This record gives sequence, structure tokens and C-alpha cells, in this order.
Amino acid sequence: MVMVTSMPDTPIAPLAAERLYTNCDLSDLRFETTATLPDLDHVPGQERALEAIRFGAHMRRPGYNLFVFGPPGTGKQNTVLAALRDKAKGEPAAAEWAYVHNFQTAHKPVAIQLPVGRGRELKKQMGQLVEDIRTALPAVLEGEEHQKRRQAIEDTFRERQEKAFEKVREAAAGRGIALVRTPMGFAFAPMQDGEIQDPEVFAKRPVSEREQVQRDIEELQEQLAAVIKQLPRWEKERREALRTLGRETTAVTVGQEIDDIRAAFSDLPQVMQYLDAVRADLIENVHTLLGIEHAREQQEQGLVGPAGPGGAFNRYAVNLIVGDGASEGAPVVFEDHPTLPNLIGRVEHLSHMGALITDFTLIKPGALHRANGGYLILDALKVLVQPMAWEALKRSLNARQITIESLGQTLSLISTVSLEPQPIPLDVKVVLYGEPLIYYLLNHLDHEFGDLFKVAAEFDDVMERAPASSLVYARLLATMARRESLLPLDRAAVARTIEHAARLADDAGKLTTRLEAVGDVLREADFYAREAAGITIAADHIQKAIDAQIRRADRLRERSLEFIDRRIVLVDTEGSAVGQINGLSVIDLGGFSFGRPTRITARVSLGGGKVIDIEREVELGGPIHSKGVLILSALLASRFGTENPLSLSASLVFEQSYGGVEGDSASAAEYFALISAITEIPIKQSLAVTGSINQHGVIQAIGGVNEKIEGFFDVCQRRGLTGAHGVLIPSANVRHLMLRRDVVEACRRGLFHVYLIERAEDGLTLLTGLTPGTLGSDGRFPEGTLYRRAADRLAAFARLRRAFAASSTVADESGKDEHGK
Amino acid sequence: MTQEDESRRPFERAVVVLDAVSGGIAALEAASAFAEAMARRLDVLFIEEESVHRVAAFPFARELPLRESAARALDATTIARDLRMAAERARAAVETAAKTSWLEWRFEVIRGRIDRTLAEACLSGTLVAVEARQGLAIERMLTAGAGAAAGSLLVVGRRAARRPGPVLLHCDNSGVAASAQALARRIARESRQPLLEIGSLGDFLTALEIPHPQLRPWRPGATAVPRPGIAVVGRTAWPSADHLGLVLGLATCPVLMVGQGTRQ
Repeated sequence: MVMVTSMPDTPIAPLAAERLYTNCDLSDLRFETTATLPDLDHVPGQERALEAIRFGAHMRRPGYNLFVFGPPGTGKQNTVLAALRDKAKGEPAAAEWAYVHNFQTAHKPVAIQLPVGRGRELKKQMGQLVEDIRTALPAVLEGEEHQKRRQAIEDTFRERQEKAFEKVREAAAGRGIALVRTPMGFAFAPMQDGEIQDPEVFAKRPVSEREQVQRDIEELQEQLAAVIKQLPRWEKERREALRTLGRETTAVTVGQEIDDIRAAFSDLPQVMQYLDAVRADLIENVHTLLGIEHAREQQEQGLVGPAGPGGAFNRYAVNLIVGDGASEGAPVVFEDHPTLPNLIGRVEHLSHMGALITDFTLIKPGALHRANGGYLILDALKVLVQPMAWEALKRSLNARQITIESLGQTLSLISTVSLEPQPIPLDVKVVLYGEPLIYYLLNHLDHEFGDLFKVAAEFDDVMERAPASSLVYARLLATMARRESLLPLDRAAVARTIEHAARLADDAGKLTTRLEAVGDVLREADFYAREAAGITIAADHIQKAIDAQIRRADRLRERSLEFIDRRIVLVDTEGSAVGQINGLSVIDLGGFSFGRPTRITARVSLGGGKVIDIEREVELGGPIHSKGVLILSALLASRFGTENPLSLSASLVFEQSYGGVEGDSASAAEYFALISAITEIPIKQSLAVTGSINQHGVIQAIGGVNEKIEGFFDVCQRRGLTGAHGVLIPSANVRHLMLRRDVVEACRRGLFHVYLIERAEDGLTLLTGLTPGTLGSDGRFPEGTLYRRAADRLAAFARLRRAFAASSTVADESGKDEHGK
Repeated sequence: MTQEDESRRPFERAVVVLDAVSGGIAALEAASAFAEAMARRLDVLFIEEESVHRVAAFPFARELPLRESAARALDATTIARDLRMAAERARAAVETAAKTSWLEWRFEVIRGRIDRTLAEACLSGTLVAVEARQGLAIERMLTAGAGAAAGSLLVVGRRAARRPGPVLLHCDNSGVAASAQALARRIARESRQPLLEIGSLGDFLTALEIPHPQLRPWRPGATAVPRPGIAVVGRTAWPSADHLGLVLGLATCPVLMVGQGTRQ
């Protein structure tokens, strides 16, 4: 065995404690409490998004609707709402819309557009008209004048009828024949002494007399038949005369009322046209409607069958679907539940005597109606998950009109006749908001999306952290505190919150713009401050709120640490071992994530140069993890496979990992474990590693660096920090460090260390204490280096393999017969 | 209704006379209302007019239905069937009216003459309701034999409409004036309507909107009296059968002619 003795020339120093946590400089915060800070009227760090929103809002061309996207909690909805409300204030109020009865085609209600405030007036006046007619007209119709005219008509026609019959009666009487009423009509019979003659007596009369009587009766029957034939025509004339009388009476009563309304709306041709139709319909149908009302009263007493919804005079109602008369500026509507009916409106039905009935008064507006002439804000995901809502929204924007259709009608599931309200012209700016994935998917999958939503406004989840931005962030915190009636924050509390915002951003040089998370800390800190009878929120309250959030969420972390303490999960933090290294992973629980060390092991044997990723073999490894393993395989081959084929078989495994493994942040650790396994040089178990590695051996940045360091720190601390413990992280991650104070303090005291590594060789040096060596001009690594040992071992594998291959060939040859078989 | 109220009812029974021709629904409604308030029982007499049966006995008898222009042969079977159907319809209407008013009622089909039936029904303590129509000479009947009967007669004319309105009383000097007045007052009280007492027969007819040049020049709308809901008059108040005929035929409200046998 060759002894490896090469030691590194300059040992890699751990990071200074000051670089593990970037404090907020209190000198940047020149105030005592946030109470003295003015409000911030925008969310900082979203200038690009706000610029896009402003452009989209001002661009009044078809298709320039907005899609605002960004991570959740960045205040997209509130920002858009505030920006649009601000703009809408200076714009004219939207027109009002009403649905009225269509007197020509009842199932197609007519939409009427009215200037602001006039809709309510029309509705009121029409309601008054109906009330007046309801009370005044019956009185007029029951009045002396009308009744006398009606009686006169009845008398005239009755007299005409009676005279006609009387004439026949007299003609019959002149011939000694009686006209007799029968249950169904009339009949003639001979008379004697003013009475119907006894048939038996009649039979005894001479034949000639009897025949004459029969002839007379036949003639009289013809006269009577002529009269009877006239009856339907007289009846029709009578009805027409009565109808004309009714129309005349009604016209006088209705005319004045309608004229008053006409005078008030003479500037609106559509309303004038409607009022003309109302007048004509009232004159024609008011008697029928009054009759229906009477029938309804009886129906309510259980005397007759069903009628339509509402009163019979509902047909003259005005269903004002848009217009409260009090709007200032253009409407800005946020629809939180964008179902199809909530979006485009719906026609409701009433259950009446077991049947569903409707009319135009049951038309309900949707968000598009309410936002017409202004702005509509919708959550894209909510629109997409509601059946047919997305299609309806696109259809409305494309057609630039709102057509109310139920889901059943849209899908052609129902064939019953329902209302078809007249479509209403649409002029609205729609603002969708959602996560970036939705935006990209829609862009990719829906060819109409790009045409309808031409303006994208992307919200960032972080903003730059600089001395100037600290004060801006402080104003943001001040605004949030004021809006939610929280106690003001003192300067130290602001500083601590800013530091926490950097931690949430996973970057010491950035601040999170996910204001919901920051808001939670403020609200909870306010709770603790009030509990302590404080008048301001102090840094301690902020810290207490942060700690409490972690405490509430870290049951799993505690359990994980407990398993390691009890050596149920095997993690060594001292000593050294060959082919074994402490990797670091992050468990994300949604609102809370924590790091955890995981033992990674590597084994090598003679083989065909393949590195087996056991995680992938059992389908527990994700594609990115597999990619990392393949990259390190390529790195290994490029380092040591240029002269001899790699003749080893290596296996890598995350020990005691029973869930999936994803990401390439362990690829550097896997490489180190593999080198250790090949060289049989042990790795220090007091260190843990995170970082991905590329084909050139460069260590690349990873995510969750703070959680990973803290995860290993927690395990080591529970076992007792010795000063040998530490974590190797990619040097690119140094700017992300915002470690917990206890970790920073331990580092300051030299009990724990964070090392930056740029290349794989840096890590190997720290982990083994040996120099890996660099390839010389002779194509070989220097004697005594780690890589030389690895190369020698791999060369030995290659020789063994060749020898094995040769002996196998001889064995095969000796087994053949004279024919070579 | 208390026992005392029951005993103070002016009529023992209300009789309504119906036939197959007019149907008599207006009379039935008026009689039911009276029976509910003024009488103890409602008797319905459905008359199968004798003359109709007799017509059907002629071998050449033919009927001209009102709803058809062609005549059809008429025989006893056809007539009997039509009358039975008409009676059944009337009975159903009576049952409905009686159920609504919780009335004790009786329905009887009589073959005979309506004028005689009326005269026979007009007994003391009885209110007889009938619908006036062309060909039914109630006035002759009243001024002849039935005129002397003690019962009261409620006639619903062709122009009469049932509606709320004042009770119009003709105050004459006849022997039934007191009974008529007492009854009119009671009707006014129970229907919560004003009582209008008119001494002049001419004014009375004018209030009833009855045109009769001999009594008073007909001037539409000349009277200031509101349209009455019912007119009350003594049976013997009429100068002639013609006057009575006019009243019964043309009055715009039901006319109650009070007989001597009406309890005050």
C-alpha cells in the first residue's frame, strides 16, 4: 500500500462570524418608531410590475388586458386593486344598464343603457306608474261613467238579440205557433189558447192543417236559423265594442302617466321607444293583467292554479342590473368567486307550484356587468377551475359583449325555452393575477391568451437590500402596521424585521416582498407587545414571534433530531470513515423548512465503469438528482479515465432515506464519498457538505443553505460542539447566509465552522486533510496526493479487469472442440 | 250564530228556482248569500219545463241549437237527457255554493211550470229567488195569483250585477212597508252599507237606472244616488204589471220584493 503524505500548503480558513449574518445597520434607520414614518403608497421592489400595470390600465385598445403574476404573498391583488382604484377615480362613471320586458318577443328581454343616476329614476317612475295604474284603473273601470258606457253596450247588443228573437216569436205567434226555449236552443210547436197544444189533440186535427203547421214551422225554423247564425258575429262585435271601450278608458288613464315619464326621459331615445311600447301594451292588455292579478289573489287563497313570478304587472318593471346611482369614477370590481354565473350573470328561477318559472326581473348581473366601463380583477386559477368560466370570459372579451348563458345552455344540456337576454356591449379591462406557472401554461397552451392578455406584469418576490432600501422597507412596515392598527415598531424591531425579511428571501443581499409572511410576524409581534403592555413593538417581540412560528411548526424537526440523537437514524459527527459523508437536505413543510444531515455512502468494486445511483434504481431519486450523479460520473471519468477505461463499479446511496430524493445539492458530497471509497482515505464525520458539482469539478450554489447549516449545527450542538464541527458550502452561497444567532455565536467562539469551497479539491482537502493534487505535464498526479492514489487504484482495477478478461478468454478457448464450438 | 240570532232570522227558508234555460246561477248566488244571512235553509227547485216535454212529443219536432245552425230532430229521449244534464250541472253549482257558505241545502227536480212553481213556493216565511229572463213573465205571475202570496221574492234581472253598494228602499204606504223597512235596515247593517230610503217610485226607478218615459224622463247619470247593491220594495207597490216587468227586466241590481209573511 502506498502511503499518502501530501498535506495542503495553505489550509482553508472558516468564514468569519460577521459574514454569516448581515445585520441591519441601525444608523440607516433614522427614526424612533414607525409612527413617525409616512405611508408608502406602493410595494417596493415592484417597479417593473407597476409600470406594466400603468401601461395596461391606460392602453384602451382591445386585447390590452393584463396578467399580473408572481409568487404568492407578494401583494399582487392589493397592488393592482390600489393602482386601478386610483386611476378609476379620475375616470367617468360607467353607464347604467337595465333589462326590460320585450313586448314583441317576451323571452328576449331588452337591455337599455342609461346615464349615471337615470336608471334608478326610471325604475322608480315605472314602479310608480304600475302602482298608480293598479289602484287608479280598477277605480276608473268600476266608475259610474265607464260602467254606464259598458252597460249601454251590453244593453244594445242584448236588445238587438232579443229583438231578433222577438221578431221570430211574433211571426210564429201570428201563425199560432210558439217559440219554446229548450236546454240547448229553440223549438217550435203549435199553440192553442196561449199554451202548447196537446200532441194528441194536434194529431186529431185535419191532415191539411197539420201539414200547414209543419210547413209554417219549417219556414219559421229558417228565419230562426238566420238569426242564430248572426249570434257569433254579434257576440264578436260586442266583445270588440267592450274592448274598444276598455282601450279608450285605459288610454286616458295611462296616457297622462306615461307622458309624465316621457317628459323626464325625452333625451333618451331608447327609453322613449320603450315607453311607447309600454303604453301600447298597457292599453291592449291592462284588463287581462288586472284579471290575472285577481286570479293571483284567488290563487293565494288556493282557489285557482299558478301564474307567473311576481305580479302580473311585473312586465312593466325595470330590472336595473347595473347602477346604484352613487358611483364615483369608473368601477373597479374584484370577483373572488368567478363561477360562470358570477362572471357573466345568470337568469334565476322561482319554484312555483312545483314548476320553475322566470322572467326578466330575475336576470342577475355578473362581475362583467358590474365592471363594464371599468376594471375587473380576477384570480386566474379560480377562473380556470370553474367550469366554462374561462371560455365565457374569453368569449365575452373577443365578442366585446356580455351574453348571459347558463351552464346548461352552454353545454346544450337543456332544451327548454328560457330567457335570452339581449347581449350588452362590453368595454372592460380585465386584470388576471396568479402564479407564473399559470401565465406560462396559458401562453403555451391557449392560442387566444396572447391576443387577449397582451400586457404581462411580473411581481418579484425579492427586492434589493441596501442602506437606502432599509428606510423604504421601514416605511412599508409602518404602513402595514397602521393599516392593521398594530402598534408602531421601534427602530430595533424594524431592523430585526428587515433581517428576517432577508432570511425569508434566502439572501443576505435581498429582502422578501412576500408581505403576507412579514405581515404575520408583525401581527404576532403586536400580540406579544400588547400582552406585555408595550406601546411599541420591540425587537424582542419580533424575535418572539419568529421563534413562536418556528416552535409551532417544528414538531417534525424535533422528531428528526430525536431519531438522530437516539441513533435510530445514523449520523456520525466525529471520527472519520471511508466512503461515508454527511450530506445535507432540506425538508419543506410549506410555511416552514428545516435542514437535516443525511449519511451518504459510496462503495466501489471491479466493474465496467458505471456509477450506480441506488436512489434512481429504486425510483426514489428525481431526475435532477440523477443528473447530478451522471455529472459526477463524467467528472470522475474525465479525471481518471483518460489513460485506462474506468474499471470499477460504484454505488451511491442516501442511507435511511425512505422518501424521494430530488435536487443536485448532494452531488459534491457524493463525489467526495466516491473518491474516499476509491482511495480508501477516510472522511471527517465532523463535517457536512452541501453543493452541486459540475463536470469540471467546480462547486455550484444550492438552495436552502441556511437551513442546511443550521440542521447540522443542531445535531452537533446536541452532542456537544468540539470546535471540529462545520459545514462546507459553495462559495457562491456566501451571499445567502443569514444564519441563526446561536449558530453565528458558536462560529464566533470557534465551536462551529462554515467553510466556502469553490472546487471539489477544496472540499477533499477539508474532508481528508490531504492535497488532492493537480495533473502534471506528464499526465499524472503527483506522488502522495489523493488523486494519485485514486488514479493508481483505478489503474489497478483496469489491470485486474484486463487480466480477468484474458483468463476468461483462455478458459473459453480451452472449452471448445476441434470445430471451435 | 247564537240561538237568539237564529230565531230572529226573517225567513224560514230560501228557495231558488232554477231551470234548464237560464241556468239561474246569478239567482243561486244571491239566494245563497241571503240564505247564509237571513234564512235557515236553502231549497233549490230545478224545473223541467212542461212545455219543453210537450214540444218533444210532436213527431215533427226539431230543435235549433244556439251553437249550431243546423236543426236536429227532437224527441223525448233527447230532451230528457239534456234536462238531466242541466239538472246535474245545477246541482253541482248548488253543492259548491252551499259548501262555501256551510249551508243546509236541498235539491229537487220538479216537472211542471216555473210560474206555478214560483207561486206555490212563495209562502209565508219564504224567500224565493229567481232569475228574470225573456219569456219568463214573472210580473204577470206576481200581479196574478202569486201576487197575493205571503212570501218574498228576490229577482235578479238581466242587467243586474252583484256588487257592493247601498241598500235602496222604496218607502210606500202598503201593508208590508214596515216589514220591508225592517228587512232593508237589517241588510244594510249586515252588509255594512248605507240605507237609502226613497219615497217616489219615479226616483226609485231612476236610481235603478230604469228608463221609463211614463214615470220620469230618462236621463243617464241624472241621479246623484250611487249604484245600489240591492233594492228593497213591497210586493204590492206596483201600479201595473208593465211597471213591474220593467223593473225586473232592467234593474241594475237584484230587487227584493217583500211579502206580508216576512218576519220583522
